[in-house]
Amino acid sequence: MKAVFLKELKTYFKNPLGYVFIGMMLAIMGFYYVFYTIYYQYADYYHVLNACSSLILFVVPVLTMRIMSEERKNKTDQILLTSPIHTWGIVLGKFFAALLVFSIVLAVSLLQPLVTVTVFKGEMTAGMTAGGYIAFFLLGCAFISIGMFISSLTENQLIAAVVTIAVFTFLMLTEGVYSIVSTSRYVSLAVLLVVLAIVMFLVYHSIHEAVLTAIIGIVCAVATVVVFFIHPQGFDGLTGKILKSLSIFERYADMFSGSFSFSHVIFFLSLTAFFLFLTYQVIERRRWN
Amino acid sequence: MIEVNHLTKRYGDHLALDDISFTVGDGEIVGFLGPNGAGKSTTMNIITGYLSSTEGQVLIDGIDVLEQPLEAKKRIGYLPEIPPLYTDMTVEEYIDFACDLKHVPAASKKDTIEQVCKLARVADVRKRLIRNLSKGYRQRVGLAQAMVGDPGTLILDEPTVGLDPKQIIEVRDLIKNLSKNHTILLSSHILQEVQAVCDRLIIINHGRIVAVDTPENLSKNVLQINKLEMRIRGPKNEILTGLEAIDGVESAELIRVREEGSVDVRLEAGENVDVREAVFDFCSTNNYPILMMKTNEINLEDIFLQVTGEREAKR
Repeated sequence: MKAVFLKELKTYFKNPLGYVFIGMMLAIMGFYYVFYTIYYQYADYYHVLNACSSLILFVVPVLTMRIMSEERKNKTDQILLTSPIHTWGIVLGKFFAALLVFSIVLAVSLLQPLVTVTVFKGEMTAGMTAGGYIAFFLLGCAFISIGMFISSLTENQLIAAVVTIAVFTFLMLTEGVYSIVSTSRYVSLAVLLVVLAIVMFLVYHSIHEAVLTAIIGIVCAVATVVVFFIHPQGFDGLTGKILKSLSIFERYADMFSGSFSFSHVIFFLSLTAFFLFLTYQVIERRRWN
Repeated sequence: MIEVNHLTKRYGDHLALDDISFTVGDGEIVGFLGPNGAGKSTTMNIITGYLSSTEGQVLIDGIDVLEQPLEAKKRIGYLPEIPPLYTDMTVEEYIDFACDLKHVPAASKKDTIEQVCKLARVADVRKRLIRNLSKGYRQRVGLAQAMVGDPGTLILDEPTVGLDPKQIIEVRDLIKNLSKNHTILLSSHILQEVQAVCDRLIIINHGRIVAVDTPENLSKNVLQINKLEMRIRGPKNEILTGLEAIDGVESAELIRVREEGSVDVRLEAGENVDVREAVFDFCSTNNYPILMMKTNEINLEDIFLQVTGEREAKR
C-alpha cells in the first residue's frame, strides 16, 4: 500500500492537478473568509466551511477523475496487478493519497480561524468549528471514495469527472425529496420491490447463477409481501424514511448545526468503505470478464 | 517452472483460449509464436495473474496463481505487450517504484536499480522522463522493470517490438544471458525472432496450440527444396523452355526482369524432388550464368499450413 500511496502522492504534485485542487480550494475558502468573517464579521468559522461544502462538488472530481481511469488507459494497471501486492493495497493507497491532498487544504485553512482569534480577537465557539471541520473531512472521505469508484468504471478521465459532478449534484438536489414523496404504504411496497429487483439484477450480473438469483429474489420478495400483510402500518411513509436516512447533506447539515453524533460519523465512514469496496470489486471483476 | 494446465478463456461467446496446456522447465527459454490475435497475450496475462482463466490452472514453481497470487507473483517478472510505464516519472523513479512494488528491501534498492538499468542498457537515460524516451528505450525500461526483484520466471510479451536491428541483437543476447538462471517464456509473431534464442517453440493459432517442437525440427519439416527462385543471365524463352524440360520440374515461370539481360524465374518441382543440381548442369552446359538461386523462405504461415495440414491428414 505504501508504494502506491507514495507514487500517487507524487503524481498529484508532478501534474498541475494537485496544485490546481489546493489552489482552487484555498482561493475560494479565502474569498468566503473575507466575505463572512471580515466583511460581515461573523465570529463563527463554520459559516465559511458551510459555504464551501457546495464547492466540494466541483473540486473533488479534480482529485479523483484520473485516479483509476488513467491507469487503465495507459495500461499501467498491469504492473500494479501483476506485482505481489494485494488489490486492497492499490485501492487504499490511492484513496489515502487523495485524502491527504484534501487534508492539506483543510490543514492550511486552519490558519483562518486562528487568525480570527489571535489577530482580530474574535470569539468563536471552538466546538462548532471543530464539528464543522470533522463534518467537512468526513464529507470529503465519502466523496473521494464515490469519485474513485466512478473513475474505476471508465478509461476516460473526462467522463469520470463529468459523471462524478453529475452524481454529486444529483445527491445534493435530491436532498429534500424525502419530504415530498408519497407516504402511501402501497407506494412504499412497490418501491421496495423495485429496489429488490434492481439489487437482484446486480447480483445476477456478478454471480451469473440464474437459479440461485431467482430463489434469493423470490424469497426476499415473498418475505417483504408477508411482512406487508402482517404489519402494514410499518410501510406508511417508509420511502421517505429510507430516503431521509440515506441523505448525505441532511446529516452533514446536522453536524454543522452543532449536533455531533457518532451515528453520523459511522454513516459517513460506512459510505466511504462501501464505495471503496465497490472500487475493489470493479478491479477484481475486470479480470474475470 | 511454469505449468499451464487446460487453460480456457471465454469472452462472452468468443473463445479466446481453448484448452491450452504446456510446461516451461527450469532454465528453459520457450518461444510463444502465433499471429496477432492468436491468444499469446491473453495466455501471458493469465499466467501473470492480470486476467483470470475461465477454466484451467497455472502453476509457477508449483504455486497456483489464483490460490496464492502474492506468492506466485513474487516469482514472475512481466513485460506486457505495451510496457506499463508512468510517463511522468524519470527512469530511475520508475524503477524505484517497481522496487517498492516488488518488496525489494530499502538497503539493496540502489544496487538493484543500478543492476537492472545496466542489464537493460538504460543506464544512460536514468535521469530522463520516460515521456521523452524513444520507443526502443521505453521497451527496455519495461524490460528493466521486469527484472526487478530477480524473479526466477520472466514472461516477455514481444520484447523486441519497436527496437532497431542493433538493439534487437542486444536484447537477444540479454535474454540468452538471463536464461542461465531464469525460466523464460517470450512471445513473438516473427519466426526468425524466436528461432535464434529459444530452446523450444509453442505455436498457437486461434487460441489453440498447433505445434510444440524445437525450432530445428519445425523448420526442417517445411524446408521447401522443391520451390526455387532464380536469376539467370541469358535469353528468356530458351531458359524457360529448357528449365521446364528438366526431369522433375513441374513448372517454370517468369517473375520479372530485374537486371538487364537476365530473367528471374520461379521453379516448381514435384514434392521432395531436389532439382538444384540438374538446373545447374543445364545452365552450365548452355553457358547461362546463375546469378542467384534460393529456396523459398520459411515463414510462420508455411509452418501453420504444415502443422495444420498434418493435423487434418491425421484425422
